[in-house]
Amino acid sequence: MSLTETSLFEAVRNQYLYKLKSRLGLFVAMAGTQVLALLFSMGGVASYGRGSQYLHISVKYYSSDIVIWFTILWIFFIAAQITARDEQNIDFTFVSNRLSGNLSNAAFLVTAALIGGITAILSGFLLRVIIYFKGGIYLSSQNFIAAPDVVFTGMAVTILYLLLFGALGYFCGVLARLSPVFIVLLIGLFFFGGWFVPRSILPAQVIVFFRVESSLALLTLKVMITMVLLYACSFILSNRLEVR
Amino acid sequence: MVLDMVGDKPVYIQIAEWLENEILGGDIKENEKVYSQYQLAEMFNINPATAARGINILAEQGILYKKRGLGMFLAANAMEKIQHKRRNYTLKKLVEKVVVEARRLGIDEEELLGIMRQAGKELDE
Amino acid sequence: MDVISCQGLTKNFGRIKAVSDLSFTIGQNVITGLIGPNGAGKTTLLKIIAGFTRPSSGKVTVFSENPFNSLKVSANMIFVDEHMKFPSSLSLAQIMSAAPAFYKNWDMGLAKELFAYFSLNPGQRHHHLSKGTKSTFNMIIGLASRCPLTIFDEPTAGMDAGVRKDFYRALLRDYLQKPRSMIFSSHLLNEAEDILEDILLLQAGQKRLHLPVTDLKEFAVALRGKKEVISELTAGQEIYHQKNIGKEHSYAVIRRDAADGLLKKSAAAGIEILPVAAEDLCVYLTTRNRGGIDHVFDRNQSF
Repeated sequence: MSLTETSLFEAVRNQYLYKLKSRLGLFVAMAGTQVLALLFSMGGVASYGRGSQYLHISVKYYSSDIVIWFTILWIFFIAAQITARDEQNIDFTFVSNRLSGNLSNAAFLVTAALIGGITAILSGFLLRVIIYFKGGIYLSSQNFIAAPDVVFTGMAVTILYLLLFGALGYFCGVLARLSPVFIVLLIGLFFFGGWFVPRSILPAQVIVFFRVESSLALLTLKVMITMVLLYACSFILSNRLEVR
Repeated sequence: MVLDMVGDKPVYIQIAEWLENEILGGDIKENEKVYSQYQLAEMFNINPATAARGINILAEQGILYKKRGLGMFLAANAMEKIQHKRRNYTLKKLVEKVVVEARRLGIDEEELLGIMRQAGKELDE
Repeated sequence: MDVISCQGLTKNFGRIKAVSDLSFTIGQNVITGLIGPNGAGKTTLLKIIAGFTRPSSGKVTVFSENPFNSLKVSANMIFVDEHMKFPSSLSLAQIMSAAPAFYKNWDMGLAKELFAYFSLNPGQRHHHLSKGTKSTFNMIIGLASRCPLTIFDEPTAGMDAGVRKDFYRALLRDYLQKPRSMIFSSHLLNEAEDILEDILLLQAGQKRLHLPVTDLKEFAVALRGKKEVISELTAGQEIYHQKNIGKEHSYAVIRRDAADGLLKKSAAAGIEILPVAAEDLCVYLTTRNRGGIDHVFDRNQSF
């Protein structure tokens, strides 16, 4: 029987489509997460009130910040989850090598970031519509419908953060697969990292590196480079893993 | 025919014998194509390599001959060759066994011949 | 061209050698039975061939390539066992419709026919199937993918006797239609014997035999008769298996080509010469204790 030839591209494309089909449930989970976040946002994400004996003013800020944060958490966890051994065994039931499995996972996470980013921003509109119909409050109308460029910038930034956290989650997942020691280390770092590392040094600087960037282009560049680095490390570390 | 898979006789020999029986029965004519290893494999649920080994026994004995790319064909005097072989080898062995068993039971030649005639009659009926 | 070639292949798990200095080649379009008792290293060897795991030392090539991380090997090979994983979110029908994208030779007609014949439920999830049904479904995937190298690791686990029989028949008929290299592992030869061409017998990670099944059947003979006569005749021979029959008789299995004239001498001495079934021989060759289980009881009684 003659051998068939398969290119890496073809293998990745097939695996990507297979994963998209089989992981639809993860997007349902995303929708659920976002709805939950919306409920949390109903009371306003920030408020201050001032009152006298006769008059009370309360100002509330409504935004989809919570939705965005929840979506970031979601992508982080699904990214870590798809590095699990069972998921890799599913890859190797059909045609795969470690690189094609990793690449198709990365492609899946990019898709997840795009969908997550767009829906998170759109949920902001939904929130405003709900608040409008709830009534009883005076809506400051100038921000009711934001300018398109603002919306798109918001989307872009959200998507960039999702890409970043997707890659980070994937990297953490790979580390956890390599050794359970890393799970302990990662959890330790997350909760107690601040005690050991002076605030001015690592985590704070990492956050500043991304948060203080005001140019979208530069942020994109920073995120892309970091993302590629994280994936590259994940791919190299997992390229010798044994499966099944 | 169902092959005797648990018996002493190797499967490929059973295949060779089955082919011989087909030839003796006149089911395959001289210079006619015989079953391929794949046909035999499917018929008897065996690996085609095993079937090929059975065919090759007959080819080595000149009962079958090979046409390149076409398969195995029945040789011109195949029938006589098989009859000769069976008479001088297979039948002789069988008779030997019968005689040994008869002696063990103390049956003399006359009585044995009688038993054989009787068996022949029963088969005819 | 060889499909698989192994040289000095060794795989350690800690201190245990699962596969130890294994060398062999498997040619094109051969159905090979990989036989050995539990723990002989069958699965470990197959996983190295499939490129799932790496050998600790030694060399393995499949289609002339190192299988580990080889897309070429993966695209032309399928590994069927009871641990085959499918997404829990997909139904059997969805899995089947996803497979052709991966395997260019996929035969959907065959897959659908087999699916219907074994009355599988297209809406069911793979992880909800019983062990036997899982094996049946995996077998369908394995056959329909029509890979130039098809590996079945203990494929009949949990199957009913009837399904097992159908499986062997399906495997053979499919092979006759599309000859390809197949490896089939099992701890027993049993029903698989007749459809195999070669047999690779493993014991404790090492190769015991690798030869055509038809040769295996003539590899050994058994001598049965008076104890003293047999022990005299077989002195200096490697005895694969020996057991006592009553007090005075014994049964010994030796190589057929053991020593010139040994068989003639045996016959002359009134010893019965019997063939040894391939399956029994495999068991004898892979058991450490030559006397078999009887030995334990015989020794125990003498105290």
